[in-house]
Amino acid sequence: MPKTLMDGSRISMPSVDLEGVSGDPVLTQVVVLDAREVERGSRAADCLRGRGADPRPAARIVERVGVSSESATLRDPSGLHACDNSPGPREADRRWCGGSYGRLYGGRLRDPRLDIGCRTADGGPMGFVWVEPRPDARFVVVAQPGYVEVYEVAGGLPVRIATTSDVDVERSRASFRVSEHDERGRLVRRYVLDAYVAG
Amino acid sequence: MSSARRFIGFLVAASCLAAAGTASGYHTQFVVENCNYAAPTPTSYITRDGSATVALRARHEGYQWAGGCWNDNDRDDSPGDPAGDPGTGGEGPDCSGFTFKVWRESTNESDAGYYQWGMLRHIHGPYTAARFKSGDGAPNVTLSKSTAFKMDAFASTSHIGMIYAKNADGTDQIIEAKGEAYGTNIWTRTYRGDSSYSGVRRTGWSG
Repeated sequence: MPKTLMDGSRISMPSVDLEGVSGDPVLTQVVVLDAREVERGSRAADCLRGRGADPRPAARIVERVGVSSESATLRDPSGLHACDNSPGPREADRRWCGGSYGRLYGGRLRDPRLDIGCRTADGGPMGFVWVEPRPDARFVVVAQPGYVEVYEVAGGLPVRIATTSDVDVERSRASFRVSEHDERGRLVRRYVLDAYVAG
Repeated sequence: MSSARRFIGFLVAASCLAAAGTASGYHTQFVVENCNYAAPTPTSYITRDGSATVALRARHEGYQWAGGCWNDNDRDDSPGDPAGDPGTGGEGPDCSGFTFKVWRESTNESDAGYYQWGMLRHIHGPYTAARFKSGDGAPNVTLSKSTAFKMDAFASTSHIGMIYAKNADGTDQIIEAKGEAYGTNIWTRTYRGDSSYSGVRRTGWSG
């Protein structure tokens, strides 16, 4: 079981027992920011600059830090933007190793917008997607090798999750084993999300 | 109600049920019956004219979200796939998969070498239009749109198309996988003057 998150902070446990979850839970960090007030040099500022997103009007940015992943998600008038990061190798000195854009149709994504541009510290493939939890879900849980990562739903935005397993670069696809839980930890739903790079 | 009107009503209901069944469980056998996962052939160079020829073989072959496999019979063998569903198994590329294959890129993003993928090799590649727009991947760079020419591309966050020819009026003939309703073809476009589009180049052309 990991001892720290990607930014070096010590891991913590979720405040509730998660129904039907096997494996040690690791609570990921989440911060919600106003896109107009992000600090220079922050994750969010770097993401905004690099992806050409339009932060009007009063968009929120959700920053997340997991064991082997880091992301920023922004919703602007055209859709969702994500910047993805990992401890692995990347081109030159780029701050982010990947990212996604998802146009919204009736306020929802048409697909989870898989990004397989990032690598683990030892060069293995990684996948990032958005999930749109049910309205009563408070936690999104993703199975990882030897533990589970727990993401809190925040900012009214889809949740950017990552996996270090079941990523098939040759077929541009990845599978995520996911469960959603309410504020008391009760299981809302469980599913395998198969995602493909597209569009 | 007359028997004729009852019969017409039955036909309408039957048609609606058939359409509903098609929409919910739609898939074709094109990928299963025709496509493969063969390794690409490494090549020592890439030319703009050669890549244009590769791209032209995809004309009229349809469009498939997350797709990347087509034949060369000048028709879409899986017309009308539900848009946005990667699991329909239909013929044709999507915009970014088309660019990846025509630009002979590697699934390894740090590899700028040239890899010839067969038409029937089912491959999309790791890049979306948004990632091409950012110049992600070792082979890809952003460039000023004014300097873009044949087989360079214009990319937005949600679409990418390659320049087939530049028109005298400042527009371009773009070869692109446009969408399920349109397929893959050449259209006159104004991407060069559209601020939502950036120029992208595959590096290393030898001619």
